[in-house]
Amino acid sequence: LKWHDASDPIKNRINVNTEKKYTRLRETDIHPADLRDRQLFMQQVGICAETLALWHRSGMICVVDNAVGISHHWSITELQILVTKIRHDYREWLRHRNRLEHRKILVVEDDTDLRHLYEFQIQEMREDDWVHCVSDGAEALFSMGAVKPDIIICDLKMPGMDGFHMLDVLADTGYLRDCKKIIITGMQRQVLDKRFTLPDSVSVLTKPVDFDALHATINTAMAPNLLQREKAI
Amino acid sequence: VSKHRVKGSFRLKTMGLTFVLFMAFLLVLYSSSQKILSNSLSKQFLVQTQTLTELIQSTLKPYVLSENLEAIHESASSILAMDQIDYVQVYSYDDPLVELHSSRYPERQFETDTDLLEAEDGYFDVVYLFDIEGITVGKVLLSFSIAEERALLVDANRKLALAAVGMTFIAMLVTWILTGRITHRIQLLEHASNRFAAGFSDVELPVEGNDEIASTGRAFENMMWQLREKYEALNLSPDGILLLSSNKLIAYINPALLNILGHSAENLYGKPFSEFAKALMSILDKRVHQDVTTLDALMKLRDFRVHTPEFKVLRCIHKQVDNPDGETYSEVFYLRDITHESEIDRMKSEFLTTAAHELRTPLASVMGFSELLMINKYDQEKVRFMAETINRQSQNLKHMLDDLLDIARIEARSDGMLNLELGNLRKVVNECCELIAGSDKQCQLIFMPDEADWSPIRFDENKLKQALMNILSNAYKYSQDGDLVVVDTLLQEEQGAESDWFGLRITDHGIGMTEDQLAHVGEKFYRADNTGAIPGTGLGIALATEIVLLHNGHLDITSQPGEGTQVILWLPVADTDQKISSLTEIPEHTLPADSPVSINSNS
Repeated sequence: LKWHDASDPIKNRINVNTEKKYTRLRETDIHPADLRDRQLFMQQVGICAETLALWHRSGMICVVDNAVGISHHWSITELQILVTKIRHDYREWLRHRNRLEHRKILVVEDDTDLRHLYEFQIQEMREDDWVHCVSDGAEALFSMGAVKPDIIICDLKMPGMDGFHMLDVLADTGYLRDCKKIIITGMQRQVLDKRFTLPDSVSVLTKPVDFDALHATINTAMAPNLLQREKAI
Repeated sequence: VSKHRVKGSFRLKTMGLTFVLFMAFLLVLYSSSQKILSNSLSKQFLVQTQTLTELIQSTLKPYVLSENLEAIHESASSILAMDQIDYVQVYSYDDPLVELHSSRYPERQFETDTDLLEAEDGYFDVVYLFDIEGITVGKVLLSFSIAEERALLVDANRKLALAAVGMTFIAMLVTWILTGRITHRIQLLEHASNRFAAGFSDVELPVEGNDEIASTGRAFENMMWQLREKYEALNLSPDGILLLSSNKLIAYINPALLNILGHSAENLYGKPFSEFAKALMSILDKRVHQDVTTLDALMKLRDFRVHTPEFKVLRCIHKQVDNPDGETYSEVFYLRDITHESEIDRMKSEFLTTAAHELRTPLASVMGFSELLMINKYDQEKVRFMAETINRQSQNLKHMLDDLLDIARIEARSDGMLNLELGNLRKVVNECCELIAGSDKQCQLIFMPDEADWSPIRFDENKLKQALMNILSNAYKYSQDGDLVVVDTLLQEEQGAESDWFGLRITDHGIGMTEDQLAHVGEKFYRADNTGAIPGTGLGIALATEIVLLHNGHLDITSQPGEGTQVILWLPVADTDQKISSLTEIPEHTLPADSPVSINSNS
């Protein structure tokens, strides 16, 4: 996808990285001079600073002086459409549900069949749950701001941005700290531990998934959350 | 010969021994000959004096008894007149009766001698006693002038001693010369071995002649050649070898190790070991080994990484050679370049991890959906969807397992030889195309067997089918629905080449590959599309390459990202005379196409 709006003032400044080579950036990597552009970008796409920080830190968007050498860009309009669509989907679904009862679950899995499977399984468990499936970490981070999931179920080895990178960025920014993260991976636990130090709050299930265990994990994770929400209302 | 070790040298020892032996021998010789000489002289003298005794006994004794002084004087004078007698004194009991002496007799003390040599002043004194029934009634004292005999004896003694000294001197001289010759040659050997140990190859050896030293020299030369052979072998070793002498100097370092250490280490030979340690530490990859600062710490590591400037993984084996007393005599450092092995290890373990992950993914679908079907009641459409998914994923699983087994078999070469048969590929390609056209993906396959040029080749039907299926299914996998996949044939006639080449070209218009990805195609476990969106184990093309190589052919792959990929499978065309026979054998063979297709391998 290429820029097509020539009049876009930040055309050459903010690019969305779709080359699927993500490098984690630190907060200090953004120059203060870019702040004005960031404001504009946030306004145009309709996201908050937190989301922008998340996207930036993950390396999905980057600030460059000019677009030469970067072959793939997303236009602001396309980002707008993407974010709006996710938000719209969620609101549509929400309209018919009891706000109190539902849980928002984000499934990050590259295999289409497995995505379907998780969706079926979770809905089998509780019809009221809202399941949003994405195919990689980048997509997950795109939808995270709009959906604010209660639970993230993710695979680790994925094309594009993998689960390691995504969880890393989340841990780094502290975004969705209360969200329960469940990893479902084909990797063995020993291999996993060697490559990634997981916080205790992250549960790990191995493929093929034992869905009873998955349900139990989701339920225990959600119990205090639902209680809190009840109190708030 | 550099320096003489005088103290304790072989020559000095031999000479000392010769000297002692000669001295002892000559001393014995001298003393015994002296004794024999003096004995014989004494004997001669005694024989001479025997008559004198008789004379004295018969003439002088009666005169002494009768104390006839005149007669005594007379006979004493006659005795004095005898040869050699210079002094006569006659006693009656203890009273001297007559004392006569010649004019040359000097003033001297009379002393009875028993041995000729004892008479140092040249006079031998003898006493004759006259006994009557045990009582000495008189005596005669005689002094013999024995200067001549004595002089003779002394002269003989001097000559003997002189001869002994002369003999000893000659013996010492001969020993000196002989041992000199031997030690010189032994020193040559010593020097040669020192020089050789120091790394010089031009050494002088005592090989002339037939003696023991010459044969030792030849044996030494032989040993040297063998050592040189071994050093030559060490020089050829691709692994780095360093020998350290007991005084911690580098005694040997092979070219491979110098190569690893780079140009900074050109002259490490004979340098102290610390120089080598410094050179090794300087090429150590500091990013990986941040905490390693000394060589000892490095030696504790199993493997370590260096950059020279290309990265290498080295494994160091350190061995100490001890002498029988348990002291370290020398040390051997063996640096093995295990870059390749560790790379293969890494690739294999990565492949296994990937394979396990890839196997678990379809299995998860199969298990999950079947579980859902077991527990819940769904409408017809959903059940159908789930069953289809289960089926698709099971097939996926099967393909992966097949690929894994195939690659394992080919790697182990347990299949043995190819089952080669002469024929053309038309039937095989046809079958493969039909198979692939029947798959889920709705690509547009263009294959016109009648238009193609089917050269006769030798091939293994099953193997080639497998290779072709892998290439075809790749073309399908990386294409969108409705994309074109074209299969056609080529014929390349190379002038001067041994045989013509038959090419089977499969062109797709899928996602293609970058140059970077293209370079890795055919490597086992490598997947150009690392997204995982397309199922596969990264073995398809590796398998195909292997199979085509077994047929003496090769794969030619060109690609443009986003434009598509073109794979040409080149196989050698069978000989012309066989071509004719094969033409008759194969009835369905169609006439060759109008014109041979021109090839541009860069297209």
